Parts: sequence; C-alpha cells; structure tokens
Amino acid sequence: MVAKLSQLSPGQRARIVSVGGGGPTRRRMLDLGLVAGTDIAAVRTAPLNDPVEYTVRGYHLAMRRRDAEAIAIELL
Amino acid sequence: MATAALTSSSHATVALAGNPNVGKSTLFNALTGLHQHVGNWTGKTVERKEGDCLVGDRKLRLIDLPGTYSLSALSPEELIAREFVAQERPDVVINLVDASSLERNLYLTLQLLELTDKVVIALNMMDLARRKGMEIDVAALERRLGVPVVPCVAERREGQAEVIAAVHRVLDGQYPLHPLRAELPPAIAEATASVAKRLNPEALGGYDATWFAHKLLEGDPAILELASARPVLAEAVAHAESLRARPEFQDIEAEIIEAQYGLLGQVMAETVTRRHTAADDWTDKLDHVVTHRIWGFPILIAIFGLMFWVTFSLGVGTVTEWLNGYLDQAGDLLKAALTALHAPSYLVSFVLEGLWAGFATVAGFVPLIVVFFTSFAILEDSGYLARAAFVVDRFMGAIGLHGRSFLPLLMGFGCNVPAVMATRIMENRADRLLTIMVNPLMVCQARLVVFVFFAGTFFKGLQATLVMLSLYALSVTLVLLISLLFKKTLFPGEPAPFIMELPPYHRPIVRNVVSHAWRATKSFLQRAGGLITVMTGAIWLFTHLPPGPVEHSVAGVLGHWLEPLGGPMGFDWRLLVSLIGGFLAKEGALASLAVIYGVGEDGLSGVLQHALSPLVAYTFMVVSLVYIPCFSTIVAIWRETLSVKWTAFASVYGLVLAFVLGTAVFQIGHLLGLG
Repeated sequence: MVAKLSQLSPGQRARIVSVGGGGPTRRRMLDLGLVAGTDIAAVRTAPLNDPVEYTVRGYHLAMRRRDAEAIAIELL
Repeated sequence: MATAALTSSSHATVALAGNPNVGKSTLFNALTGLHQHVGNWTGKTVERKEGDCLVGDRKLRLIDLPGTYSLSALSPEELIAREFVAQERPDVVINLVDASSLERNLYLTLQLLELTDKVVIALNMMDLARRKGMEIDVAALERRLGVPVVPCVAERREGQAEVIAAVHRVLDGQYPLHPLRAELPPAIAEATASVAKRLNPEALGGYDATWFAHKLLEGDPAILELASARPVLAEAVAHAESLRARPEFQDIEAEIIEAQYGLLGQVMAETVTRRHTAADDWTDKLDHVVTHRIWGFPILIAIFGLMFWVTFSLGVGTVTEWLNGYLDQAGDLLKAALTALHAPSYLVSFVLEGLWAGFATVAGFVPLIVVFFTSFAILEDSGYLARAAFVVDRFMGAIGLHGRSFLPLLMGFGCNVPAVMATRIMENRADRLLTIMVNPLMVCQARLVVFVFFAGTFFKGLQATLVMLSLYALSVTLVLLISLLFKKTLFPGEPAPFIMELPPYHRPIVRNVVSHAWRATKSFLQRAGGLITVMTGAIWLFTHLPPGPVEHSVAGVLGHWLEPLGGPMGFDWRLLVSLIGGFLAKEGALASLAVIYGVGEDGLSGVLQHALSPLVAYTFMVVSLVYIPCFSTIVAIWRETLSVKWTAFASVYGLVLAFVLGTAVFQIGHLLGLG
C-alpha cells in the first residue's frame, strides 16, 4: 500500500518508494539519504504534532509534515 | 628526495571537511591550539577558520571548511566547501566522519572523492557507534574506500597523531590512493562522457571535466551559471540541455544519488556488523523527555529562562556593574588629565561624552556577548538547540519563520545585537533575513529602562503594570504581524523546508565553548567597536554644535524642522531630538531629555510630569519601541547580512511604522479624551 511519509505514525516503519517535489528541497532530502528503497521509521512527533522525528540510515531526522508529504512510502 | 618532499609539504594546505555536528571544531581546535586566524569567507557571512597544525614535526596549514552534508551547492556553506576543494586544491582533505551515522557521512566522502583523490578519513565517535551496536572493520573500510581511514576520538584527543601521520603519508606519495567512485547507470555514464568531451578543460575554473559534465546534466545552478558565462562552453551546455530534455534522463539527479547510496549500502554491508542492542541509547531517552507532549515546553522555558537569567543578570547585572565601576574611574582619570592639561571645556566634554562614552558603550556589550555566546555554545554543542527548534517549529512555522528563529527572537528581549549575531545558526537566507528584520521589534533591555522610567513617572500602580504589559503585547503582536507581512511581500513563495538532523547529545567541550564565545566577542569588537565609537562622537557634535543651548544645535534645528511630523503624535522638538539620542543606545533617550530640559537625570521625572501629558508619554513609549534599531544593532545587521539594502530597510521601515502607530495612538487617545 503506497502512502505518504507524512501519514506514518510513531512506531511505524516504511520503505521509501519515491521522492517527489523538486528544487533544492528535494535535493536536500536525496542528499540526506532519503532515496527510493530506503527504510525509514517515525519515532515521535513534536509536542504540537508537527514536525515529526524519523530514524533513517542510523540517524535522527526531523521534518515538517508538509515536507514529508513529498515522499511516497510503502508500509512495512 | 626526502628533503624535497619535506620542503614541498612543509607548507602544505590541509582542508578539514565533514558533516555538521561531527566534532570538526573539536578536532580543529585540538590540531591548531590557539594558532588560529578567524575571518569570513570572501563576500560571505560564513565564518572561516584557519590555523597552523602543531601535531607532528612538519608544519601544515589547516583550513576548516563549513560543516555540510553534501557538496550540492544548496547553501553558501556547501558552495564554499566545494569551491575550496575544487579550485584551491588543498594538498590533502581530512574528512571527519561520524562513525555512529557512517552511511550518511560517507555520502559526503563520495562527493569529496569526486573532486580529489587526496582524502584522509578520520573516523570519529567510534565509542558511540559501538554503543549503538555497530562494529566497524576499519581495515576493510580503508581497502574499500581506497584512502587512509584512521579511527580517532577527537574529544579525548586520541588518534590525532595517527591522522596527521596519514596526512603526511599521502603528502609524500607513500599511500597508494584508489578512491572509490560510484558506478553510474551506463546511459548516464555515456551521456556524461559525451558532455565532458565537449568541455574545454581550460574554462572549467579548476573543476574536473567529468564532474563538470555531471553537474551540467544534473542542472546544478552554480555550475550552470558559471558555464553560461563562458561562450566557449556554450555548445556543451546546449548539449547537456538537450540530453536533460530526454525522457530517460528526466530524473538524472535522483539516479546518481541512488547509485551513490546503493554503493554505500554495499560498503556498509561489507564493513559493518550490527549487534542488536537494548534501546537506542540515551539520546533517545533524553529526546523522549525534552520533546515530550507535556514536558517539552516547560523544559524549553526553563532552559531558555535560565540562559536568559544568566546572560542578563550575570552578564549585564553583576559583571557590567563591576566593569562600569572601572570605566567610570577611568573616565574620571581621563577628565582629570584633560583638565590638568588645561584643555578647553568643550574638548573635555567631547572626549568624555562623545568618544569615551562610545568606548564605554562598546565595552558594556562585552560581558553580555561573552556570557550569551558561552551559554549559546553550550546549548548548541550539547545538541539541545536542535531539539528546541523541533519543539517550537509549529509556532514559528505559523508566522512564516523557522524553528531555529526562536532563540534569536527570544534573545531580542535581552539585546538585539547578540540576537542578530545568533541568526547564524539559520541555514536558509530568506529565513535568516526575516528573523533579522523583525528582531528589533522585540523589547530589549535598554528600551525596558526607558519604559520603566516613563511608566513610573506617568502612571501609578496597576496602571503602570498594564502600560508595561501592553508594550510587551504590542512588541510580540508586531513581530507576528510584521513577520507575516514581510513573508508575504518580501520573501514570497514556498516556505523553506524544515529538514533538520537531530544530532546525538554529547557533553559540551570547554575548549569549543570558550573558543566560540571568544570568536563572537572578537568579531563584535573588530567589526562594530570602532564604528560605534565614531558614531557616538558624531552624535555628540550633532547635539553640541554650534555651541550654545541644544535648541540651536544642528540636532535642535533638525528637531524644529521635524515638528510637523511630530505634531500628529503630540511631540515637540524636544522629544524628537531625544529620539536622536536614543538612536545611539535606546536608554540614551533619557540622557538626551535630561540635557534638553537642562536637569540631571534625577530631576527629569519631575520636569517631564509637567511638560507632557500621560497620553503623549505613552505615545512616546510606543514610538521608542519601533522607530529604529539602535546603532549597534544596525551595525550588527550590516555585518550579518553584508547587504546595504537590507540594512537600510531594517533601519527605515521602523520609522514609517512608528509614525503610523504613534499617530494612531495619540489621535485615538485624544478622541477618547485621554489627553
């Protein structure tokens, strides 16, 4: 089932299917290792529910939901 | 031969590259000691650190490149690192790598290896990696990467001699370098070759032709700009454009990065064994508390509250009082000396109230900057600052700002000068400019002095408290509204993304903290000190020439001219001239009023009560809040933006806003019969 990374709840794991959007934001995501085929897990959300903290490639990354929307995932 | 190698490498240039938060400053400080030179990269607001390496028997010139995740030229930092490696061609690049997030760190390594063969990997934080259950086979990693890999613990100064020894081996050509490079999908490799062969190697500004071709195919903005400025490259650019238009090359950027991460996946599988460990580590446990739904905000308020209290009670209170004591004594000595030399009273006054006062203002900032940047460095080094940005980002995002804008804005309640300097933690230029532009709207301590004086003079008890609260409310409301307005008009378009690493927590390192505070202080003194002193002298001349009462001085005449503007706000020339005094330092408005009314500051309260109505006094407070950043803040804005345009805008928009607000407050108050 394909979903958006922004929909991933804390504790859930997923695999990145594709990274959409464009320009520098997309490039930054790719540079940080958010490429197709990468496993990613949501860890927790900030107190007001946004941004969300993820673990990917062994490190912690915080992202706003609106930025995470560009990433398509399949749940694991 | 040995001698030749020795001389050729005795002044070798070594660049230090790495991701942010991997301990680069720690290693740099350990390798160079106090032999550092700090400045800015030419034309940029990014700090440049350079020093002589004291480890090993041969001298090396070490240049600390900005911390970056990549060399994609997404930020000035990345562009600086990339251009330095490609164009200045350092003899060796030390790539400091965080072993605990090895894969992402090695991505930068791959980018560096595209530009140069001469890389030495310093593998830091092996202890943390082990705690995370990673066992790294260093020898295998070295074989795979084809460049020396040296484990070290920068924090405990372990392994630094070995890192430098590896640098020397590379310098002396004793290490066979076979840098690892990602193999690209055949179609892309072919396209790259076809672009590369159309490139004139002379015109590439030091870049390698294959790399340049890559970047043209990816559509790298900096390389496209460079290439289109050179007619000799026009054919290659056009060819790359036509290739990019083909459907199979639609997403060449992602394909190249996927190939690189694919390769790194293999490297990881071959060189790292993972044990399963209980829970992540204490970073995760701490994060659970400090970003907690309920505890997150109280902890944030407590930590920043403590920081604020330490800065403005220890920094401004205790230390500044102590310093001022000495400055006053020195001022008295200076006065006595001038009098003894029979200097004319005019000169004595100019030296003391003009130049000496300017010097004292600059000196007064020093304790504040030292204490603020010490606590700032502790928060940043420990990793908490990133968590704070994470916790408050939702609020800041709502007004078009970034989570990282929070601390600089908050510090505006203390003093706008360090607050503006602190915006350096922000990566995106638009976010940073916006944070700088609205910062002067925060009620700083100097304005607080003026407000407390006026509130105490004109209002009693609860009324005075409400007046003070209304000014703080106005300040915060203005920040929200003006920020939204500027975001919509000056920085339109998509908000910058919030994609931020939450680095592992670690104990702040004293040497780094001290070095950070020292650099901030030095930079303030060097860049702002002289200007502020000169300006204070100039304003003194302005208010004292031609000799006679203030009313007939240049400033007084100007005040009279401006009275038509002051009228709608209920101001006469006296209040207008005092605002000129407040321009130097906000609390200076009080001293100016005392001079204008010809009383001491003790008698000012009584005189003002008769001269002004409470409504005019309140209007004056509102105008003082917004009319212009103080001169020291303007200098800081100029140093941090390096833009005359933005500095001028930051200085002027407040005047318009002040006139509108002042007129509104006075006229509405008047209609309501308040004065």
